[in-house]
Amino acid sequence: MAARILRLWALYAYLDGMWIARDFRSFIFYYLADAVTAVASVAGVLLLAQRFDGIPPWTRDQVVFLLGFGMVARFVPDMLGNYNVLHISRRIGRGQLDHILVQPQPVWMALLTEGFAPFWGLLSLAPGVGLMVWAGQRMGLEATPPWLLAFALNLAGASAALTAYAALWGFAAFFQPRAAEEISGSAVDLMTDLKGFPLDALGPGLRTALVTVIPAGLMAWYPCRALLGLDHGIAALWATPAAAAALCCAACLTFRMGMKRYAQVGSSRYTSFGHRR
Amino acid sequence: MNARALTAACRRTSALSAGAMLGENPLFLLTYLLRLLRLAALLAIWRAVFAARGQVGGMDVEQVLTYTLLAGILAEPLNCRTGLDRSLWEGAIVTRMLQPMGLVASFVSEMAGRWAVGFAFCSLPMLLLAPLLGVDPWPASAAAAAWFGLSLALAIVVGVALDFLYGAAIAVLKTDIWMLDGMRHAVALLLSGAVVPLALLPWGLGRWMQWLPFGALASAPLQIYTGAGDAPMLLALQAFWALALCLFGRWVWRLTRERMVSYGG
Repeated sequence: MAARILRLWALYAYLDGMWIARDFRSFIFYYLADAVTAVASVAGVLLLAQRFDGIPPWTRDQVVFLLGFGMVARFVPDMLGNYNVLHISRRIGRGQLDHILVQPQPVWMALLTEGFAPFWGLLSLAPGVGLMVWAGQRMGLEATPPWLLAFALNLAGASAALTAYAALWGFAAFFQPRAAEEISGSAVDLMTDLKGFPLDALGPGLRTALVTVIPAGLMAWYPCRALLGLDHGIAALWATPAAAAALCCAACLTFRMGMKRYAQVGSSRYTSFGHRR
Repeated sequence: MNARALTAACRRTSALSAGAMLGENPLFLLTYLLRLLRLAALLAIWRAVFAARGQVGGMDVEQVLTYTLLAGILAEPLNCRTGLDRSLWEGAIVTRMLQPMGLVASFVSEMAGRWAVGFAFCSLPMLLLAPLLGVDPWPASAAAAAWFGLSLALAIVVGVALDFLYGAAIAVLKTDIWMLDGMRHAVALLLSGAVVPLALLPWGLGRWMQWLPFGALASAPLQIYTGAGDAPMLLALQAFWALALCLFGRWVWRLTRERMVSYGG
């Protein structure tokens, strides 16, 4: 099974590479747009941290690390979730889930591999890693094996949290195809909009909401608090992966419920003439 | 089509657009709830940033909070999206061109319909909740309020012109609109000052950025409202960009019209 997944990833990576490099103009354009988007999306907070020498109680370097972490955490779902796999509501709402269901492979395997596009978004990975390394060096961060393990766990947790959260919203399209087609986009946007901010200043209610109901805080703020020693409790190191696991379980359950409904009613977005309602 | 008929057509188009949003999308209130949550988070972050500080870049914490509140309330008009890009992508632009009311009027009317729903269900509640959020929603002065109205109108004109230029770019480049859209969203948010007021950027960057057309979108009206900017100068700059971009957009649109292709849905 693992070999098949790797083969499919290789296939989709090849297709992605061919798509981006189909001509020189497209190649330059994709990467230019990618780089501009990546830099512009973090520049605001970065400039703010520079101007105010941090965002209390975070120092400037800690904010830079947080921004880099958020960029890398966002890269993984983006890399695996292209072609509306991350915004799965669009596929469900439009009746395109049928395209997966007729394939001779499990649905989960199709979803895990179909959106794999490693070349797309590469330029948001490089600045993210660069920001973390730069800030880490300035803070004198010691990358010991236990710290690296915690880092990897929290990074995987942050990525999984975004993916599961996007899926949870997306699966709402099983029940409200038209309405949920765009709400999932708004929800994911909110996660990424707030991922670069330290959320310590928020009131307890809002802070709790932002690590549970809309877990934007899990994208970078909470894991970085633990990794940078702003929260010394050992539980803080495990909180993000644990929350991500809970979100993944919730997403799986919702998917099962949704599939049951889909099996009964299918998609009503298209008329019998093939036009979208 | 005479002016009266055009006005009536625009009004009906807006009503249809608002009705479609209300009728077809019962979850739209959740989108607004998310916007409110984002606003509450940003306000708290600004309070932390300004803690124990006086004025920074000519703005104090009260001004920044009002600025952020208004940016949240007017999120849609301060970042005009007519839906032209999607129309090009889906090929629906062809039927638009057959309509007697003209492309700009058609798209702007639809946009206004969507804004009306947003205003009723999101902007107004945000405004009413302002005291609970600890923000003074009133303008800096009566004059600021008057200038703000004009500035907002100019910001919308600049926004629509930029959106049509963006549409022309899609037609010329014939490329993935989602990639362009992501880039545009990120760049516009940064350069327009909709999230971080330009005056608060380091190294005097804001002084340079406010001369760009993006500065006319959000920064100018919000600065005028909060009394943080030189109103006559900002209005003159906005008027310049509105005129220049409308003329340029009209010219570019005429050039690219024949190169327009339908991408399919």
